[in-house]
Amino acid sequence: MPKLKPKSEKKIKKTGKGTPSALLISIAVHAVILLLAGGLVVFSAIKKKEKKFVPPPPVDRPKMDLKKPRVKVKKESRPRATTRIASKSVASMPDIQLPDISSAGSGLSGGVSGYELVPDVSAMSVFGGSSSVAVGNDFEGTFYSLRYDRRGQKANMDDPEFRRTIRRFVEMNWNPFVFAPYYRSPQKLYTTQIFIPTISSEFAPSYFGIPSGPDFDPVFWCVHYKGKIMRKEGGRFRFWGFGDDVLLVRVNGELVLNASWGNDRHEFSDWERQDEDYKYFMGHAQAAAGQWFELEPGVPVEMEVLVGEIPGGFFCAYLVIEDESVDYAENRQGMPILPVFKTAEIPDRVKDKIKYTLIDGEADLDSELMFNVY
Amino acid sequence: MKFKTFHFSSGLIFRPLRYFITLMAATLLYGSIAVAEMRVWEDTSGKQVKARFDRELFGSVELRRPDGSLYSIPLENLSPQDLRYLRTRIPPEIEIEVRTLKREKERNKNATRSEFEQFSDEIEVVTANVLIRQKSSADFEGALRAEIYFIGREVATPEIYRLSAKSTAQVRLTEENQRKFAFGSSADFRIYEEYNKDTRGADYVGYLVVVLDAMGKKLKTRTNVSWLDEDEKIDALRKFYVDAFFDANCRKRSVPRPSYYDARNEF
Repeated sequence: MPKLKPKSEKKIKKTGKGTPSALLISIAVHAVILLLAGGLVVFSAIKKKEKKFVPPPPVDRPKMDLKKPRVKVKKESRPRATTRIASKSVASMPDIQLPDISSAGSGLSGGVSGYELVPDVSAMSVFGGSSSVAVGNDFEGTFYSLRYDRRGQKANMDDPEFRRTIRRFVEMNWNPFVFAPYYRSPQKLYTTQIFIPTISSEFAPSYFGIPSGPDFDPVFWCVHYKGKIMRKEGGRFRFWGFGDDVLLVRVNGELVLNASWGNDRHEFSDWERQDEDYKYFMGHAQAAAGQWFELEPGVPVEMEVLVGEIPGGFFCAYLVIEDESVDYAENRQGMPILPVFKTAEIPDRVKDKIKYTLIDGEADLDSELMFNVY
Repeated sequence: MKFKTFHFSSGLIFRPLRYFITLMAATLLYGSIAVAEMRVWEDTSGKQVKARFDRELFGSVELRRPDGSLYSIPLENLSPQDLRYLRTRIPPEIEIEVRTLKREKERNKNATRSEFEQFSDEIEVVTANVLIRQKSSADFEGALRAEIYFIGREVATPEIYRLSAKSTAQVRLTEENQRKFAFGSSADFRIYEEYNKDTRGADYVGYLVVVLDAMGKKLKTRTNVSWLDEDEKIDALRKFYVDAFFDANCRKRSVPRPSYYDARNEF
């Protein structure tokens, strides 16, 4: 590099020395022309750049309005208008008497001539149906048997360990990972209400596709329901209920009801006794009242319910809801006859199953109060 | 229930009237069974006749002309397209046999733990083995549908019946299965003591088996329930969902509710 500098200086000097003046003038003229042309080019180039930064014409507001919900739909995976129609039709489903193919409680043996019986697609139990009944408004229920490990072998489980596991689940933000070491039924059920009057605990596994019989021990099981609720008008509500043995409800991440059996409920979570707790009876034991919670108008929130059974025998999960702004008729105990919590109309066939074991006046199955998101 | 119409040998009745009466009689006797369509039939010699299928008997197909008269073509003389029609569109004559077995349900010994509660309920499992046999000889390549219904009677309210279970099977009658199709189905009948000390549940009363063609028309029914003696009752029963309650006229009844129980006595 140091050598180059003198060389270039030399070159310039050489070029000027002995050159005819006409040529110099010509060079000067050309240089001026070139400068002018360059200036024009630069000028036009700058002009072009300026064009690039011209702000785009204002966007029509109606177009923005259309785009906005479209993005929202994608983000929240909400069904579009067509789905809404589908959920509306659910309300009228009770009037359609579709033939059941089989009852969940009945066993079906295969066709002898090599043909199988038609699979059960329309059976609907008090735990839910095998397919969605109201798209977007369903609670998806997952059955876990803590009696068995993932491979179906008997797990090391007893009453205290079951209670501890449920508490771990509650304390770990209702993370189903807690149940990962145990058997999970591949059959999920979908329901729009959680209201299971007293039945034999044997039925639960069979509704989730596990044949009742000598091979399956129907103790230490639970069902985790997950869904969303919304109230267009908003409001202040509280759940009431009774679970034999487990009934826990959380809304928007907050535990709002622990209506589990007797003293067990204090094992499952730290729960402060509420007003009117254990004052009335539902089914075969005392009903618990939950904490008041508020729903913003039109804002969907997550809701989860855990029901379960410890020793076998009777099982139930009664879940009703009270709207603070409503005065309810009272039953003979003086307890308000509260609406069954639901996110869609309860199909007639399910209503009938519920009524069979529900004492008249313990809950209102026909109330208009619904918490449907769609 | 045979798939055939009345025969009129007497020539005293005016033909159109006779035809009308034939149709009416068929409708009354066989309820929802449809009369086969009028079409042109052809034998292997090319002779054509406009008629509707009446029945298949002794290796021949009997056709009824528009004037009500019968025309017979042996199956082996039937044109290939008519044989195809017969094999796919005309359901065969069938008979149904049902055998039922009862047993006590085998249960898990831990289903309820003794320190909490003993089994106080009884569960009877009723299994029906159904055999559907083709009586007519013409091959039938289509599928039929069999339905089986299990009926129970509420122990607390014996005038109320309950549809305890139902299931369906697709029936194919082929050479491979010697034109016999068998399937089994079962239902649980549980009588138990409710928490309020009511004795509840249903006893087994009987079954109903219905076989239908591809269009949903009844071909044959079989039941051991004496009061299921009318098509209307059978049709009404078929529309009930499992666990629906009804009376002997197959009219829906409201659900029997448990009696009031004051659980405070227990606490």
